[in-house]
Amino acid sequence: MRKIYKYLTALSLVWAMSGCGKFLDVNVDPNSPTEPVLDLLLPSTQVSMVVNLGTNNPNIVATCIVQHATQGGFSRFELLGTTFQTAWNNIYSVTLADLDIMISTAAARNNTAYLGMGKLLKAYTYSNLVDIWGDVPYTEAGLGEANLAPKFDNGADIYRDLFRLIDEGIADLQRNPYVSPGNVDLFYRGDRALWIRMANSLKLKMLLQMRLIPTERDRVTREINLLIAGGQLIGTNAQDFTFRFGTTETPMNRHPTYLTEYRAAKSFYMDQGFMDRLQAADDPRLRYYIYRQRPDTGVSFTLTSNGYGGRATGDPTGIPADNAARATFGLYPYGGLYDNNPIRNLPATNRFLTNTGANNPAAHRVVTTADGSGAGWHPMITYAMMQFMLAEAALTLGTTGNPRTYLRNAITTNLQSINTFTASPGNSGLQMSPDLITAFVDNRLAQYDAATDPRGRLNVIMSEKYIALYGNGIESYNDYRRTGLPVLMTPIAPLNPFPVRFTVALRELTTNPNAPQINDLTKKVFWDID
Amino acid sequence: MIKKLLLSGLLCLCTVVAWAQQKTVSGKVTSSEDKAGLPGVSVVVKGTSAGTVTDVEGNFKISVPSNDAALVFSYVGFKPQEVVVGSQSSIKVEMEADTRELTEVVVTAAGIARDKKALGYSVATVNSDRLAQLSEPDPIRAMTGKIAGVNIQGSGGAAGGATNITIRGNSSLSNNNQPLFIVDGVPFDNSTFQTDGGFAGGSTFTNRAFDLDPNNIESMTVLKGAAAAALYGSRAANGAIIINTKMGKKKSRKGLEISYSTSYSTEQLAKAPEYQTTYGQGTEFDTRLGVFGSWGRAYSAIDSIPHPLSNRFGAVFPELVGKRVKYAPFGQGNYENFYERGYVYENAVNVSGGTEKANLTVGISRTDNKGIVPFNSISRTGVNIGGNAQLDNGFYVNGSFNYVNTIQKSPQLASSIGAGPSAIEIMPWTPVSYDLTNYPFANPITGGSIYDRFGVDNPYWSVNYSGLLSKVDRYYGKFTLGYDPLSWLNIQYTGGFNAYTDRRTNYNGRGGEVFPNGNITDDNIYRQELDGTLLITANRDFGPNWNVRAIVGNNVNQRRTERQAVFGDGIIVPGINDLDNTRVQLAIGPNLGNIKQRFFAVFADVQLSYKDYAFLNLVARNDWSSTLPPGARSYFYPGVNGSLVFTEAFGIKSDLLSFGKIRAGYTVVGNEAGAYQTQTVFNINPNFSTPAPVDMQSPFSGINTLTYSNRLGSTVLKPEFIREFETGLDLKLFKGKLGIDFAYYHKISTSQIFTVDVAPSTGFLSRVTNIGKVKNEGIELGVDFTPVTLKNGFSWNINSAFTLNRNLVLDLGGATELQYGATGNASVTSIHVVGQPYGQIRGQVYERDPEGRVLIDAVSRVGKAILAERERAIGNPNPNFIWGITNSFSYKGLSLSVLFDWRDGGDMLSISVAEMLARGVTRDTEDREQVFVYPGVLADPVTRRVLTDAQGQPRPNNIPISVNEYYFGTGAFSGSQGTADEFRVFTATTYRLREVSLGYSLPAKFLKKTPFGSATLSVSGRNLWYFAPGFPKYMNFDPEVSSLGVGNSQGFDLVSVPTTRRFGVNLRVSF
Repeated sequence: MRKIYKYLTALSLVWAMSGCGKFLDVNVDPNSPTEPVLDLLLPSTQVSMVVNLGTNNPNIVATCIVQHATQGGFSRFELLGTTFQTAWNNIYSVTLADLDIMISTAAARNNTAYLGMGKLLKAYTYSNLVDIWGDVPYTEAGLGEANLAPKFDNGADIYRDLFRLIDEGIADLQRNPYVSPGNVDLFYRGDRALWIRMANSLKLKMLLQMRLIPTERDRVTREINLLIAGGQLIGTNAQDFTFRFGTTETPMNRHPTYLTEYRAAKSFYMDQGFMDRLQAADDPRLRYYIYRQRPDTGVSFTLTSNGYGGRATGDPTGIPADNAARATFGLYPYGGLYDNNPIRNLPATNRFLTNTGANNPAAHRVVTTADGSGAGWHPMITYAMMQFMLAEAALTLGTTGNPRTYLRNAITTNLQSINTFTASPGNSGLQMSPDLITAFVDNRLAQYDAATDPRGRLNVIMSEKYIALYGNGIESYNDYRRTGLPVLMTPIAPLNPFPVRFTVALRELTTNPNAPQINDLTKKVFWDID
Repeated sequence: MIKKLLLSGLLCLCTVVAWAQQKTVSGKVTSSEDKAGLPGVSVVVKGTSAGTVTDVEGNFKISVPSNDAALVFSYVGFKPQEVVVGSQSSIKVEMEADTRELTEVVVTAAGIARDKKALGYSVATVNSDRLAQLSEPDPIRAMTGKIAGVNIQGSGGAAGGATNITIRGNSSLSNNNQPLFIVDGVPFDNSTFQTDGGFAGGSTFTNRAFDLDPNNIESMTVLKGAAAAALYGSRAANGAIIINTKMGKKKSRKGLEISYSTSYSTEQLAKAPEYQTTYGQGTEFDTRLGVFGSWGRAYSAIDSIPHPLSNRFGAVFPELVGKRVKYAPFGQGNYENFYERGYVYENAVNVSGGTEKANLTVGISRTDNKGIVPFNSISRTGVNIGGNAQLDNGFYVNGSFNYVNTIQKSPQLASSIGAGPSAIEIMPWTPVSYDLTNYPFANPITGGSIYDRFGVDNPYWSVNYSGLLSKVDRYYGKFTLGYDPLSWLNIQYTGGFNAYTDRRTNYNGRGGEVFPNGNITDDNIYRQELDGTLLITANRDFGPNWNVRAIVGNNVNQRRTERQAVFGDGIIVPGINDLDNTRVQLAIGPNLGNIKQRFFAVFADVQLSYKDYAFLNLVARNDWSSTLPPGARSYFYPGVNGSLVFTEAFGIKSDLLSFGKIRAGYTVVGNEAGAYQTQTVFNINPNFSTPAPVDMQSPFSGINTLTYSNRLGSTVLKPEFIREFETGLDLKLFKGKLGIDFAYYHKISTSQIFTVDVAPSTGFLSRVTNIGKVKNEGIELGVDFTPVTLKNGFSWNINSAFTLNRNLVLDLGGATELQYGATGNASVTSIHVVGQPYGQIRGQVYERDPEGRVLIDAVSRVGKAILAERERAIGNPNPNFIWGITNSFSYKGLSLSVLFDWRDGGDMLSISVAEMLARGVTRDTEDREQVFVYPGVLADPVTRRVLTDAQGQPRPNNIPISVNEYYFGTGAFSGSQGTADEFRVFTATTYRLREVSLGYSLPAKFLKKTPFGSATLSVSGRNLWYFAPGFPKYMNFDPEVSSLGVGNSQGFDLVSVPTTRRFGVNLRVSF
């Protein structure tokens, strides 16, 4: 009797044990692949790079610091450990992590297109990280379990290695046979010639950034001349390294900054100083950059002005219910509305910013998600920027070419580019006529000619670049730290000194023993030399 | 799977072997109290191991060797009896209840009833009369204050709001800390699923223990420690709540019993804040429309103001343009009128009947709870059937089947810091001169929301046009097949199943401020659990003094979740909340839509008893879990505990100390990982986080994407372990009038499976690893005191449950702090800090000098404090202690029970209180014609150094700010969103009159001529009074809210539905 039970017990245990192995083999995630797919990774890295750098706090804070637009805390230099948390976290764990996988996978499969593009995207991303954070993890980054405490590399060392990486990327792309990724390359549709132009332009941008370092000056000059001679820089607006957002709401492909503003509650104020600057300078881009929801608001929303109601930088006061009264972003570059309403009190002397062809009667509106399309741009390296950079290089380093010619090209192509944007799918607005563009550029060149010293000329170049860079605060922030130009307003009530670098994410500080102990906003990045 | 479970049960089938006996005696055992048959009474021939137990009617049949033999009848809670057989062939025995001893019968592993005194660990039981008919439809909340060691936190007053429960503190840093629910011997899933995949601002979702009807619960036993839980395996490491439903009932009074119970309670807002009535909308004594502040002009200053809607909605309401309205206070009405009167209506019918051999119970119940928020309700309909039978061939079977349909309707009640739509998001601080009750809330042309405030929907519009619907169909049950081949040997197999579908629709109406297009998210969740347990139990006496009870068994379990959510954007025709009525649809995951995990276990539980007063219990279990890496799936965990009834062992017999037991135990419990933590995967078409209200999504311009997961899986994952030492004392004093149950425990959890933050520069945000160490230490004190028992039947009983737990995070694997949980506000999260209690509230703080004084910006001279660059822990949500006291009085058929509880300490970050202070709406900020100088020291905002005077002493702050600025403006020290979060934290100490119930059982003589066997009528009240002194006085705030619901992030009120008060009438009759 007892034997029977013993036997039965044993039997049931044996059954369970023997079935155990297979029975428990169910821990493979059925929802997600475990192998990389190159043509899915490439667009992912491109979107995440742009979203994290261009539409997250790095660009938003920079935009506020350089007074392209303003937000209470950022314009008062209130930068905390959590300010750049999302961007920092995602740049490293999404953008760069995916780029590393794409590069290693492409190398293993000998797919030179993905390999080269991966290296160039990585170089562009890291050059931005160095520019805004100074020293960041590079050589030991992205190793996962193998190194849980990546050291922070010196920005100068990273820059040096990025030139190598860019050259490698160019070499990879030049290799044959070349199989184009086609449409999954959201920047250049797989056109390697354009990627090579982007690579050279990136090098030029980085070289110029380093021009103040005494020991680098000769090399910078020499190499910029080589790049000019090579003729493989971004040379037309069509070759711009620019990201185009889509128009769909589901899935959401619109420009995130458009999204935060074209709704009832808003995140930004337009910067009063910037709007005043454009008005005072008779600049036609004002109608593209700013949209007025009312015809009559001004600073502090008194109803006695012409609708350009924003805030001065560093304004500490609380936010009243002015969402429907304040001016907001216009058509360019976020994909909102072109402001074709008449502007009160324009000086009769204005030649470029006029009421000719304006709506009659005025049709101001409180913007909603139904206005505009969100089909914005994030301009990263444009033809206009190249020309501005060459102008600065020629003026300050004596590199090949005439700064005045470069400046003429720069402003002209910027205005033409805005015209192209205006006519692009999803957007609408008036075009600036070729005559207006020519006249406007001549007007600016007259200012350049009027400047009596190199500093004054540089001021014209940098001020014009500053206005043209609207939408890319990071580049303006770089320029401002390098040249101190244009002269910006002093914030009303800053909470900190002017930040010469951004704060590293709190998560990095608390989890990486090799991270700096505190965020020192006054420690300059390596190329920032007075 | 089912086949395999069945198979191992069927293997137990075997031939029946008869054996001969000399004389057969039959009989019946009844209770002296109600003359009802007592089932399960042990009948043993004295001096032998031969014996049997009585059946469901109390009948027994036993063979005895001769007429000289004596039979020993014993039953837990009754005085044992010895009867000499003599010439009788039929014996009737009446057993007397033994009041001297603890009468609790404790149901431990797999439904085995054990005398509490034999247990070397702490358990507590709550019987049906303390759970049902108390105007509380949530079975967990009904337990509040009744059991020492248990911490229950409701999430507020929404009908069907989630309830968080932890026993003996939080052990696991990131995994589940909720106890395991076992219903009729089978695990019962208590998950809470959030529907938030992108767009739904979230709503109030119930946790699935709500599917249990308190009216259907016979008893709830809480196994508090790891020791008690060893046999249920890993998932019971946080304790277990063993629920026996009435379906599992074995005793039946007559051939047929029908009972019916009904109750109706009204539900209303417990308390509203007290609004100030002196000042209207505006700032700094100036009227400003559209400002969400009530710091404007005094009502006495002006008679009327322009109609607030003429400002923003002049085009919609041209008739209001130029119209003026009376400038008067509406704050109190705005708040109170919004909350409606709700109700709880419960009906349950239970029919049970049976014969000697078989018994069947059928029940049907229905609960409707309409909440105080318009359109918020939950209803639960249950059908249950259960029965048991003794077959002629010696087998017995029992089983139960339950079907529950739970429907929850809720407006968007997401707690929120502006992160999503919530009906009540900013309603409490609507400007007090704005007549929210009577002004229109919907645009008569477009149907869109009309409100004074941009970016937020009008609460009335929100409850009418946006909401959540959850339809749950749940099936669960079990069957048990058993056989007693020998008088001391039992074999049984229990197979259980538990499955539900939750079909959810979350809709945001068209024309809202947050989602102007409107959208609908369908979220379909299927969850299934299968469980099989084989138990072989041997129970034998060895000689007169020794008894061994040994259980060996195995347990096989599978859990599966399948889920798919689809988002539809752009409602075409308002009012039709169907995905087909949207312009474009997008499948939104979630990422882990399909999950399957399994484990297999063998276990043994051996108890040695000596003379019924010394007990030693050894337990051991080995699990094999699918969630651990191959080769490392097996883990073993043992335990030992023992108890000694020292009053019996040392022959102490006194009226002062009638019973005394000491117990101690040490147990290890292993715990498995979650599914799929051993690999790192790629995610298809991810979202890319942006600051916009909707993240960037894939596909991008029609191009699909793939990203490597941010979470690094671990291929070397090990099981985590909890080691718990527990000791306790049970005493009965003063002739049993005073019972004391004391426990002390010390629990260390180590090598926890934790998804920890890693430096983002590693390429990952988190990784799965074994890390950390948490200690929980505490005492539980249960006191049961009957100070008065009078001859005339009056008695007064005091039952007290005291809980004190101290937890401490000892190690985080090198990191000093780990942040987890999300509130929708980047700076406010939960955080573990080494050397501090579990799960602190983290937020912004102001800079302080070494003496702790706040640094005030001396340069800008606006009186603002200087914000520190780094957020810190700013509050500890863990209570110091919880103390519940129930006073019960009974006289004849009349009984009165009053539960008072005291929850001491524990911090809460309350956005609602902070914002109401900031917006100046309550009487707390009414006295405002003065200035404040915050007691800090002046400092340079750039260097953050304290300014000193000529003597080198810090210069005290001398910048006066207005009351408005103090609370609301740039100088804010309380409330407003510019304020450091540390000023939004309050101590949540609460005193509460939780439950009062007055019952009357009609005397039997009144019922003689009626068809009723018994009838009980009661009235009850819940949450009749509370006082939370840590909050500003006029807020009348009840901290029994939790915006993040069930989980390890506690201590947040991000604007929750306030608590309610209920009054009910209950009737129970039986035929």
